[in-house]
Amino acid sequence: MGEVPVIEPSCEMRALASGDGHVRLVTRNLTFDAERQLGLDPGAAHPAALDLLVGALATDLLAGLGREAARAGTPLYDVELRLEARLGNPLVALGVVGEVGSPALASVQGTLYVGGDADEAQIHALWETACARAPVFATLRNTASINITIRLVP
Amino acid sequence: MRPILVGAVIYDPKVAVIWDIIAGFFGAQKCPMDCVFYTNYELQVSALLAGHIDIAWNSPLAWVDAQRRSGDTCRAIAMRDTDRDRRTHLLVRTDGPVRAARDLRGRTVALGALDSPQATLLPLHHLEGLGLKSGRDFEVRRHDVLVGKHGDHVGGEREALNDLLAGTADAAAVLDLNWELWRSDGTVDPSRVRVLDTTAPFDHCNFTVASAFPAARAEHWTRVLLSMDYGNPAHRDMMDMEGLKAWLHGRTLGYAALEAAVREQSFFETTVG
Repeated sequence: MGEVPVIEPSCEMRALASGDGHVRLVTRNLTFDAERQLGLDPGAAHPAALDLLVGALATDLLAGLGREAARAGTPLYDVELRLEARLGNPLVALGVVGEVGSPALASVQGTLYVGGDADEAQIHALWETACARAPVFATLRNTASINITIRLVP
Repeated sequence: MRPILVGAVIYDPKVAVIWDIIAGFFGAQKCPMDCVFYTNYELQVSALLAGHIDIAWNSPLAWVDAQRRSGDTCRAIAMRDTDRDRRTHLLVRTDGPVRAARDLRGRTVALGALDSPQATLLPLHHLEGLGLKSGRDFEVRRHDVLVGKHGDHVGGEREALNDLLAGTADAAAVLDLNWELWRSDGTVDPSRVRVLDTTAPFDHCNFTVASAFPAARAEHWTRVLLSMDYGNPAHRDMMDMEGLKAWLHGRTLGYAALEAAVREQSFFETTVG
């Protein structure tokens, strides 16, 4: 009987709270800042937790798509992903006393704009592969409805 | 000393930004404050009277409720300039049959939410003063949008206006500020709709404190609030968002009509659990 292999952490992070909802995040050689749970202030200096979550999903999908396209030798151009994330009840997330419902991410709707030499079927295949291997996407799709449509850029 | 806790009722997450800005302003003035949000005014008034919060940004009906439940011991410490001397207009179609208030007899009046001072309670009180009683002399089409928020959401008044424009009501009650806005932004064509009658002036929101809140802290907080200057660009954005050009000391003489209205309509006896 061999020992169960230990799975090393794929991400280690330190988070330092400095008051007013401001958090300094340190991972590997990187330090960045975030503040608050929801990003409501158009003049904010740092992303909010929800910004980071949706940004993580977008990065996950686009980085994965880029990797799959490179492996297939299919260059893609003008790749842009636009996402809209909705919470079950954002007022619950804001701590409004008396509000009911869930603060969880309920849905993400989006559009992927992509151009390249590949035909539509190839791009869809690359996208499906990228989604199947995307850790953030795979995690969020268990709890939220994620619907992303692809539009080819001529 | 712990921050002063200020309660506010919000229905839209974006409103939280205004309170963040206000809290930031107070923090910069060495008068730290924090906000607690409530989903309705009944909860907020309970929290104020229980001492869970120090100050409540109260609707006029919440002020009346706080006085009713505290034995008239609360104090209104501040309000916006635009909270003073508001009026409600009863609007009618210019091509309609209603020429005077007495013509509403046997007709339909569109109102806002059941707990809206400006769009339901005060216009009903006004009509009662003219000898017109709802249910006896005219029918009411009420628009209960976000009940519990005391008509803060403009949706009830918009629906009342839509009734008037669609001909499903013969009159609609709207706050003077909304009438001015809708005339200027094209929501309503002033050639199609006119003001039939107008209520006496009344006051709107105020910052309320309970008797247990130390007077010195209330005075300090009020002094800082009133130091906001519309001429200062750093303050102006927030003041524009809240719809004011100056904060003023609170006054309570403008709530007499609403107090009479809730008595006349047995509001708290019939609508509060």
